Amino acid sequence: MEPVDTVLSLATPERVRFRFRLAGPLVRALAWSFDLVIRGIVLMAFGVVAAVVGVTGETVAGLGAGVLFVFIFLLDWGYGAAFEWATGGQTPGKYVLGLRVVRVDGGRPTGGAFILRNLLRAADGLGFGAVGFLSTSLDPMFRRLGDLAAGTVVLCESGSARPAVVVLDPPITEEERLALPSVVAVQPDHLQVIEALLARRARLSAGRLEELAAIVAPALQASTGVVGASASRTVALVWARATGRDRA
Amino acid sequence: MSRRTELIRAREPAWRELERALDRGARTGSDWAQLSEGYRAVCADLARARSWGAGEEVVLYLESLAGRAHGVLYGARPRASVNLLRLVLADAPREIRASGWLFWAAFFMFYGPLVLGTVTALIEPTLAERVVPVEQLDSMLDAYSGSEVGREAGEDFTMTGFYVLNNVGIALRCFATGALAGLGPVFYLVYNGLVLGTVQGYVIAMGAGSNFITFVSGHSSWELTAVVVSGAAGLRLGLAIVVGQGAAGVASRLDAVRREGPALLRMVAGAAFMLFIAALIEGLWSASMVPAPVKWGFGLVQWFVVGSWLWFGGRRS
Repeated sequence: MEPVDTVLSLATPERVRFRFRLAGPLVRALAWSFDLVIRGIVLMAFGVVAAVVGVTGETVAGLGAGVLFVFIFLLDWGYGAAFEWATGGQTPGKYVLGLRVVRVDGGRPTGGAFILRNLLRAADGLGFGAVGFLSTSLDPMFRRLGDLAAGTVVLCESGSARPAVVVLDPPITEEERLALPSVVAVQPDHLQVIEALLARRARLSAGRLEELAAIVAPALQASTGVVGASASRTVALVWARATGRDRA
Repeated sequence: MSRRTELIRAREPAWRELERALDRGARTGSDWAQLSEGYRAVCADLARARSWGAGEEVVLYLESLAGRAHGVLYGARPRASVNLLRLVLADAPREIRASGWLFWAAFFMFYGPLVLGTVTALIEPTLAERVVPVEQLDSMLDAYSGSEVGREAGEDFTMTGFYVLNNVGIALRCFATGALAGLGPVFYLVYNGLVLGTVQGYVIAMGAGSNFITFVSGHSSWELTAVVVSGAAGLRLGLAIVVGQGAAGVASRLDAVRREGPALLRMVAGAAFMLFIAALIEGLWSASMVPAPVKWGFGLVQWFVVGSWLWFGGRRS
């Protein structure tokens, strides 16, 4: 049974199943705000250029203002579609927050889908975005009206960094090695849990790591006889001995 | 050595390679070959990671990597070219004709209130003030009651740009709000028709009709038709949402909307094209010093051009 989660599960013709993490309304609003700031800065820069060039004469000033209006129009209506189409689903804001627009089946959307979902921003934006917020909140896949019409979803790609090999850090001391029992037997699924904890070490504060390790350390200590300087060290030493990494 | 370590040690370079290939994007045939090979290998890694119990972290990473590669391999081709000329000259008018009664529904929703507003304001100008604020009416009147209509060249360009921003924006909004069960276009069509009609009737009743008609004659054909077309596209979107029945027959609401998507875009492209032309004419021609009768003649020709475009565009004889 799948647990209830903000996850889109997908099976491919190769019979591979993967899960996509869906992006919720808040993180999407954040990406949108980021894009808004970028658009504002670009527009201001363009406005300054138009004003400076406009000093040279009235006709040029009028032309500059006209081009500025067209530019505002293009930014308003074309920014999202152009970036998403060029990058395969990411505006700068989405890139920063690790979001991506894909088809409901995980594929890259067509150019038309990108245009349609961005045109419908005008509907989603009604009531200061209330329509879009309501739609994303009600839909199980967090889709706004534009996504529903274009058949797209927004995924969250961040938080799945390339995994690194777990190492015993700091390396085992001579003292610790001598204190280790010759055979340490840990059930494979327990070893998995331990390794998952150690793999996350870099992203945990020292205190939190200690807290988590303290949950399993007493039981491990009792069953294997390994005693480390701290709970996390005990866990690390058990792992190292059981996987043979203490001899590295 | 744990299986997790074994898997990462053996496969990490390949994962890195696939990540780089995805960032680069596939262009040549060998890019695609590399991508598909990398994708299949990562799928195998994913299966291995799951059955070996390499840990949630590894599985999550591989799922996201395989998912990305899958999206690129099975997704739409990134640089499918669009023939803009064909889209605008053939596909758009064909699609507008295909929308049938919805076009006429939008037509009457717009021109009905327009005629009503015009006639009302002509007969009883004080009623116009109840529809449009009197300051706005007066400023419109001011704009058309001058004896000359000429503008500086610079101002021409400014106004052209402004018309693109404002008018195309209104049309796109008129279409997009069709997603609200078609209510958006109904509002935009009726409201804009009524306001335009009222202003027109008021300006004519106050004796500035000749200037007004001279000014709008050139671009009105393109602009008004574009409003109707974008409204029709919005209604079509709304109908697909409410009834769940697209041109292709009965379907679920979501499927109906998705199936209508490309057709709707073709209609919107047609409306945007018309408004672009309207903005050019309105900015560069309508306020120029050309004698009034020439402008009237030009305006009449434009109605024929718009009509022929709608009627003949994309027809195979």
